[in-house]
Amino acid sequence: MTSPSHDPAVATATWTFVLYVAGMTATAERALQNMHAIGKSYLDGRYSILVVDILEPSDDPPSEQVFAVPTLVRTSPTPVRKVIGDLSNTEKALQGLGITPGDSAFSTKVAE
Amino acid sequence: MTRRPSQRAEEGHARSPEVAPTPHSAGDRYAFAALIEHAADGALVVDDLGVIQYANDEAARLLRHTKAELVGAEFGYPAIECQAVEIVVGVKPAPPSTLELRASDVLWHGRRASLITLRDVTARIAREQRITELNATLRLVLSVDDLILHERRAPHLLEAVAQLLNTQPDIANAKISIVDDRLISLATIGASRADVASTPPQEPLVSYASELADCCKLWLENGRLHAAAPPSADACETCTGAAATNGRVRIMKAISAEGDTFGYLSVTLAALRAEDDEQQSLVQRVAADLGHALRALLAEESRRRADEALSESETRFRNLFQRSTDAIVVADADGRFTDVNDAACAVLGYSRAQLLRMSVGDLEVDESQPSAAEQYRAYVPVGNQTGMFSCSRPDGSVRHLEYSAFQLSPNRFVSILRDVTDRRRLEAQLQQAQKMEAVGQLAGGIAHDFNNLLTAIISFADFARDALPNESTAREDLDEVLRASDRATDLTRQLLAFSRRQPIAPRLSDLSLVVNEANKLLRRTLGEDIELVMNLATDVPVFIDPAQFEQIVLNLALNARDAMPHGGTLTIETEARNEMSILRVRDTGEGMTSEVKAHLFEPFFTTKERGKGTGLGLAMVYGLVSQAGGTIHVTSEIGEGSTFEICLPPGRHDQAAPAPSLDPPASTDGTESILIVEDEPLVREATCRILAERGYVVYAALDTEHALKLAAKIELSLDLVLCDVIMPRASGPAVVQAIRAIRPDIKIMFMTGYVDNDVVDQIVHDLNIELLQKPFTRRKLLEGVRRVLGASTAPRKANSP
Repeated sequence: MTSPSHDPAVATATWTFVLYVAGMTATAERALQNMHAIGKSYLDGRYSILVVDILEPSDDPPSEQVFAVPTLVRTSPTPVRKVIGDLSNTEKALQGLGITPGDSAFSTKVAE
Repeated sequence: MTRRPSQRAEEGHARSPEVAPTPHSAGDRYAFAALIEHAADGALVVDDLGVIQYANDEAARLLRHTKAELVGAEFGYPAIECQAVEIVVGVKPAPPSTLELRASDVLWHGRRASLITLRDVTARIAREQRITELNATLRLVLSVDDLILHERRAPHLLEAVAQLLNTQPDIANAKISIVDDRLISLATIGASRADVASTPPQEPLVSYASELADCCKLWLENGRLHAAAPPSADACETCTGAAATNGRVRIMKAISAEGDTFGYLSVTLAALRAEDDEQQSLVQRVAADLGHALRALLAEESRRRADEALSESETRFRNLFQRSTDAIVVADADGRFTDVNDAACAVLGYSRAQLLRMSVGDLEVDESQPSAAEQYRAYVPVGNQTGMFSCSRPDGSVRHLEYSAFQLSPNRFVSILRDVTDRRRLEAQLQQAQKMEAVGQLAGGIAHDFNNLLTAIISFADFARDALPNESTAREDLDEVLRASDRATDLTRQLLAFSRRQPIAPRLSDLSLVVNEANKLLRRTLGEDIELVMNLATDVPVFIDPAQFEQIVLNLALNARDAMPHGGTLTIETEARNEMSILRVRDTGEGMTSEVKAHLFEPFFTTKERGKGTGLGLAMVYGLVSQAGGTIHVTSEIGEGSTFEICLPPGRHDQAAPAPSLDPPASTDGTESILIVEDEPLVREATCRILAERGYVVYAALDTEHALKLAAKIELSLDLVLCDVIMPRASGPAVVQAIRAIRPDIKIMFMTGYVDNDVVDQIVHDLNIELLQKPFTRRKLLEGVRRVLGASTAPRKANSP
């Protein structure tokens, strides 16, 4: 199951995320929406999200270790960062994904 | 599992037993660590990069890893608010479990971290979901039952139920297939959501059974298909029953009731849900309810159709019954009328309400028959009968009825009555007319021969008388012969009148004037005992021969007189009514029996003593009236007198024509040449002799052929042909044509003893030829010949009388 970017400027997106879900449960749905909200507010819309349903046999198995879903993985820029849960706490989501508020592009501060 | 060999992870791993957020003392710390280590909930400490720094036993169990695997692994930073969030742990093939995750900020070795607690809520969620499902199932069943309760049309019901099932979130696809008794699908109602757009709802669907794999067919044929297995065998690859394979299963239940299978309910669900007894029993329940509903609806439908058919047939019968021109009555076994139609009321002469209070026995039948009640009693055990009876109506009139009766049900007997009164009367009239016609022809034929004989008798008696000296007594004898001949002439004329072959001279007359003319004669004839009353209307035009009509009036008056031997009143009325001119002659005499009435107009039928009447009077009246295009109606009751009513077509003014002048010529002698054509030897001889004695040159021909031969002889100068109208092999008009072809200027005169009206018309009116009626006297013959030839130019011969 693939959800293309909601951003028309996919080609220039610099942030890519994978959202692992087990069916679109209520939690998963909230996680996706919250991530879109973050992407719009903090990443200037330049992001894409791939949703992977771990229950769908046709989808590839996760390349990352996923203990539980929904888990959102930042695959680009590296290094990989993960957050778990519904992303209802934006501050913690930003922290977990390494996005600095006000930082809308490449110059994101990467915690490392 | 990608481990991130970070320093912190290694640190966390190393310090794993030392779990203690916010410890206050060492003792506390250990106690606290032990508490957390063995807590019922899973506990994780995750650093700000999402890496697990600590995991207790329960967390390892819940996440399905060892603690060693967990610590240092990247779990992900919990980006949640303080309330619990459900997460799913799913490692195939084991079923996924749902965990409740809470997170709180802690300091871990001086760094910001999250303390995560995990609790397995799989069972609780399953229970909740089950309750939700049971509620949904209950609502669904209630909705289906509601539809069943309110929808009386089977197709609509099935459509609505399929639609309802298809709106259920758990149901991927619900279809209802209606099958016939060979389990061949007739229609499929409700398509999968994906099918809706592509399949028009009314499109007939291909046989459902034929689309199924053999395993499903087998189940179908057993009528006990409960659940198709999840797809496994190769056969299921092409089977539409297993088409939606992705973890879905189709449940099929027969829609049946009391042994009748109407079809199948097929519901496709996620495999997970299909194994649920509730879903199975939901489908089973809906199918069973539909089965009973369809059974009831079909029963109701067939009952309704039967009712409609019955009501339609009753309406049809009622219409036929009421509008039939035949009278129809329905009576019970005791003869009481239970139903009658309008025609029955008209024929029997009672109102509907009256008849429904009556029984068959109340009808008055002709005295000659057994009573109606008796007849009916005899009929009922038989059940079917046809026949005739005559029935008196309350107004006294008698109707002749033909009936056909049959038994409709044990206590309902139907009789169809046809009023044949008019038909019978017409038949009788026709019979009478035919009889009269036959008698008339006979009489006419006899009269014709008589006339020829009388012509000869009169002529030769004349010759003999002329040959005798004046003092001879034989002269008186011959006078008697001539007088007897005159009476015989009258008699034959009356016969001809009856046979309607008497030549007539009709003209436009007023009936009242004609009757008035006869007045004087009548008063003298009737005698003093009889009072004559005349009620004559003015302007009653008729086209008749007045002389003949006087005969009619006289004949009727004489009959009336004879019917009133002790005196009475004779009323003669004229009237113009309903485009008819009417003469009514009424007496107050003895009246007639129906027997007498039946033979009234037959010639030679008389009730008078032998010698007092010829029996030709009324026959002549009948003939004359018929000839004039009129009719006679007779009403008579014994002891109450008789009425003769003669209806004649009214005369028209364009029928008025001047009567031909019949002034006798001054002299009857002549010298012209006359060809006489007559097949009767005595008449021919007499005619020749009369004319020759008066100076005419006479040639005699035996027949038409002979006459034409003579006419063709150019040396003969012929002035007149005197020809009999009816002769063998040629009729008068044909002779005229043939002779005129030879001699265009020759004069022609006819004589006849037997004249058909059409021939008379043709001769007298169309050809304008004079007709001499046989028997004729010498004088009439000579006058006629002279008139046709024109005034005499020849000197009177010395030897003429």
